[in-house]
Amino acid sequence: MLVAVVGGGPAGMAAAVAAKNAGADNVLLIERAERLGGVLPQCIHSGFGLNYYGRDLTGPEFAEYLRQDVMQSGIEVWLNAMVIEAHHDKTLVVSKPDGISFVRADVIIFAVGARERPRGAIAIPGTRPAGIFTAGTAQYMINVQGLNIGNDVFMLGSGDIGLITARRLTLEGAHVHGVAELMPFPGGLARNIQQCLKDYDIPLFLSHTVTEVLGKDRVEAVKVAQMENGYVVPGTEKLFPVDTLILSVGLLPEAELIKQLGLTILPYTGSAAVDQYFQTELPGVFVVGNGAGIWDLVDNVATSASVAGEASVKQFYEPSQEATLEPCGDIRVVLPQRIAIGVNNPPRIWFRVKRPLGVCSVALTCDGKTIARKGYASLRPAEMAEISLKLEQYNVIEPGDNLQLTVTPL
Amino acid sequence: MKDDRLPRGKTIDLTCIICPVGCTLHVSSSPAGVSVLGNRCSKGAEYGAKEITHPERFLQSTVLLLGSATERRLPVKTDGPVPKDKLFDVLKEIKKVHVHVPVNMGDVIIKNVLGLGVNVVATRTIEN
Amino acid sequence: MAASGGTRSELDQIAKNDNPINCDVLIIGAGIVGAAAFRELCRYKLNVLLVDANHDVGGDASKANSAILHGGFDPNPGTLMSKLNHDGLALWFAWSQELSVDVEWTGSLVLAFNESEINEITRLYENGKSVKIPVKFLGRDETLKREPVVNPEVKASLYAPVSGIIDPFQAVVALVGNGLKNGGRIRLDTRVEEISKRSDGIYVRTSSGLIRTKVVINAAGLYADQIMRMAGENWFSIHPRRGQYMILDKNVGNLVRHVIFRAPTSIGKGILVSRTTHGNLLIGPTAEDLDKPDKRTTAEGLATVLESAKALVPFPYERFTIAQYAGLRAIGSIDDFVVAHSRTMEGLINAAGIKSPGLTAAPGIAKELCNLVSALVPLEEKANFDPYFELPPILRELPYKYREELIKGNAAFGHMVCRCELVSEGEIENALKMEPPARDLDGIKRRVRATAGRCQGGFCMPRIIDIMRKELNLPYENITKFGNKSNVIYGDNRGNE
Ligand SMILES: Cc1cc2nc3c(=O)[nH]c(=O)nc-3n(C[C@H](O)[C@H](O)[C@H](O)COP(=O)(O)OP(=O)(O)OC[C@H]3O[C@@H](n4cnc5c(N)ncnc54)[C@H](O)[C@@H]3O)c2cc1C
Ligand SMILES: Cc1cc2nc3c(=O)[nH]c(=O)nc-3n(C[C@H](O)[C@H](O)[C@H](O)COP(=O)(O)OP(=O)(O)OC[C@H]3O[C@@H](n4cnc5c(N)ncnc54)[C@H](O)[C@@H]3O)c2cc1C
Ligand code: SF4
Repeated sequence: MLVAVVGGGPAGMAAAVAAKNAGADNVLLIERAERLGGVLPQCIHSGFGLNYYGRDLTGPEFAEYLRQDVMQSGIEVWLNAMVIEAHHDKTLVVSKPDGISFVRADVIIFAVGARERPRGAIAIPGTRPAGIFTAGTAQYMINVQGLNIGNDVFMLGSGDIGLITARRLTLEGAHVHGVAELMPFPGGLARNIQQCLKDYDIPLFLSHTVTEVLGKDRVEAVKVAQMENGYVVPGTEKLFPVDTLILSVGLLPEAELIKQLGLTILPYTGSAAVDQYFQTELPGVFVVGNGAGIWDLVDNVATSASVAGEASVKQFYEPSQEATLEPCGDIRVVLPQRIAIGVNNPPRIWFRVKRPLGVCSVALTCDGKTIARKGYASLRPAEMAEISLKLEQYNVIEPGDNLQLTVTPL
Repeated sequence: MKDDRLPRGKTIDLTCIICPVGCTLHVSSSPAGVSVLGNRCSKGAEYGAKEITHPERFLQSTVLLLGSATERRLPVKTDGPVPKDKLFDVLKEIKKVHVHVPVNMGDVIIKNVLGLGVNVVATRTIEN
Repeated sequence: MAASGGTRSELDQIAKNDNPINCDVLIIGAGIVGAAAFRELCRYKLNVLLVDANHDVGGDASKANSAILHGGFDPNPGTLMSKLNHDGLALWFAWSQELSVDVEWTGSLVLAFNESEINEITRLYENGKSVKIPVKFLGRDETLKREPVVNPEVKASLYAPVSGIIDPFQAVVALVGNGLKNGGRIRLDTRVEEISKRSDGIYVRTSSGLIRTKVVINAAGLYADQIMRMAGENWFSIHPRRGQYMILDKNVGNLVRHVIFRAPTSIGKGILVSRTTHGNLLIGPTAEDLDKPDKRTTAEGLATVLESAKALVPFPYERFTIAQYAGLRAIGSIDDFVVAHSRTMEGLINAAGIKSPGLTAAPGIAKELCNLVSALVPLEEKANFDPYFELPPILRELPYKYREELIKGNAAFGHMVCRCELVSEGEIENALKMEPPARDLDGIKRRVRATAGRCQGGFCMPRIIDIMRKELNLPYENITKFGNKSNVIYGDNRGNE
């Protein structure tokens, strides 16, 4: 039995190791970059691993631990190898420096990660000069390539990646003039607002956006204004004389290969619908990590990918025996979106809210009947939260049920 | 960066950065001592108290790496907290050094940096 | 950009001291018009030099337009524009084969939503008929059958089967590449600043030295009137008319089969919805008259593009946009192309006011320019002129067997760099080595599409920078997006360049 894992980030490594440990004969890990680790080698900051390894690690350390597991498990690793096509019969076409290979797998686990939304996706008007980077790209250039990408910087978007990049730029000697966030609340974790912005006196402008990029050759300035219902509030425009604009405006799952298999893409995750084992509608095809939906904590990524890796070897079931699950109201995203019925372990349900909520209660319902309920002191859009179903709750769910996840502020 | 140390007898509100929960801490100090409210665990209390007396941060950065075919930088961190007002001095030291492959995660790159009692250590293994 | 500094006597001085570069024909402007003229003139036993102020070939308008090969029913019959549109369209059939330029004959539909628009397409129908271009009038149902996604409010349309789409940048590269192959020369980063005629030729002062030539072809696009003024020719002037666009993800490139226009108004052909030869969807352009060149996109402009495109073909475009840009049309003070000898300086030939359909007409303009040159210097065909040109191979268009072969020869062809457009390191090396070579990030993007995909370089740009550094032996801080001061990086952050 061959399990092919596409992508050697934390999700791919964790899934590969779990598959091998669960008894897969052969596991092949295919990574297009020159190194394993996905985005972790560039995330040199700490904050990883508290749940998965029980200690506070940096990104490279987390990746290093996983890499050691991969190396010790007898998993075949291809680096500089990119899967360029995926076919329905589980054949992968791989381009690598020694030729084109066709891999005929029994199981495919896609752990392909996410890409960042570029400037063009949010259509910021103005000129098209050099000096505009997405935050992850900036992070790669600073931390892995070792480059100075800008001296005077403005940041759009207050997600964690942006906040961390703002601090990193400051530590490298750049002047970060400010961070604008379109929403009335920050995108990232409160601790990152504190330790990345407040620690260095970087102003955060909520309900603001960049309305224009100026500069002929290199960015010369950005215009920033307060926004209300999608419109500029007159008289609030400010000009920041910067040479660099960094965008941290969201991640989208890398779903191209998944689309090639004809799987439908859910609008709210940007990827295929999965069950609690991260199996898609195509038996034997799994999607894990950021490729399945955007997680924030790499710990959750590794945990969930391990579930898939193990199931890929052990768990095959009739796809018709399932219920569906969808997010409602202030719930933005839910994973899984399909629940396989009749397997022994009750599933864990992951979700993310649309706006910050205080004390609230999250309910899993079917036709108005509540199946499970959990209370939270607070929920934030920046964090994925979870509900683990109990066996008796799971047993109530029947094939064909349309389940809904809702949240009610208390 | 401004000095966060406040005169005695003041109170500050801040976000705990110890774990992702991010509790809002209300810290006040008086000649009688320091009190922390809003923390959900003892680590938070410790952090809040430190923040008002002598704030510290863990620091991560990169050093120049030589001899590798694919990598140009080695990521590093301090293995203990650094006083907040010394962060940029430590960074200056980090910018001065370079290392050769092979390097192992945990290797000490700068011992007892600036006599602060913490080491700068490698956070990645790079064999070649 | 007006002729600055240097009085006539100074120029004479320079002419005496500096050794000027000599040529028979100097072409100013490496846009589609200059490139087409370059290719055609290199057929003949002439010393041809192409110069451009930019860092790369491709021109200005020629790389920011709708990329449509227009059917020729739009210009008024009897104008030079009408004739050259017709000639150019016919020549693109042959040229696209000789030069391996991507052209697709998609056909176009001009939609009419009310009575006055029906009158307008009726006029276009008559135009088409009078210049012998196949056009058909379609009623509502036939229109919707042909293109089911158009706004069902449509009343009628004009269908022109002989029109299509082209990759304009690739076309310029292929034309210039073919000219270079046949002995032509090129100088970039060379801005023409002054022109003067002397007994032993025309002296042209540029930002990178002096040139002496027998003939000058002015194909300076938006700035063609400035070149004319340098020769004392003041009767003609040009102003920019901006067109803003949005490019959409390849996922939705197949929304339409044809090029979809709206019935034209007095200032332009209106907003269109079209596929590009790369499979993206393109919507735009606006038509905004400006006092001075300004290639900014604006919130209002982009909103107009969206709104007008939705009126033609309803679709949630904003969800799929990956890039926005603006191009400047060169609107002359007379409503026709000027392709003629200068009125004031013998030896100067102007191709001015080349607005839309300049891209379509370019081969026709080039032939006409050759005619004009023949009045000044004899044109004798080279026996060994090679009309063919092929761009370096694009891997994703090759059968696996051929990709294998390339990879066996150079492992870099197996190493994928751009994940969205599937471009290998080997193709990027080729872009840097080919003639004319890419010298900056935009040059690579336009030649092999790396960074042009949905992530717009987020993944591959840092890697391309490494390849450029290695292949061109450039320090990081000298790598630019498009020449000049468009530097991407300020150097190594540990001072280890
Ligand atoms: C900039 C940034 C900062 C972050 N900071 C934190 C933090 O502080 N704490 C935290 O817990 N989490 C953080 N995260 C989140 C965490 O890193 C991610 O959740 C995690 O890396 C996702 O893992 P993944 O394996 O799904 O994706 P990735 O890490 O993106 O890995 C995907 C891998 O797949 C490969 N791949 C993709 N397509 C192909 C193909 N066709 N063929 C071959 N290989 C392919 C890619 O090259 C890549 O290596 C951060 C994320 C980013 C982007
Ligand atoms: C928005 C828009 C949409 C269009 N759509 C279409 C279409 O769909 N189909 C079609 O057929 N046509 C279209 N056109 C028209 C077509 O793009 C132009 O007619 C054509 O590109 C003009 O080519 P050019 O070579 O004359 O000018 P350009 O491409 O502008 O090239 C002129 C070159 O001259 C150089 N130059 C200028 N001054 C100097 C100097 N002093 N020294 C040295 N170099 C100099 C510039 O650097 C530039 O590279 C469109 C145009 C626009 C703007
Ligand atoms: S107080 Fe405790 S629980 Fe709250 S954020 Fe700090 S460490 Fe986490």
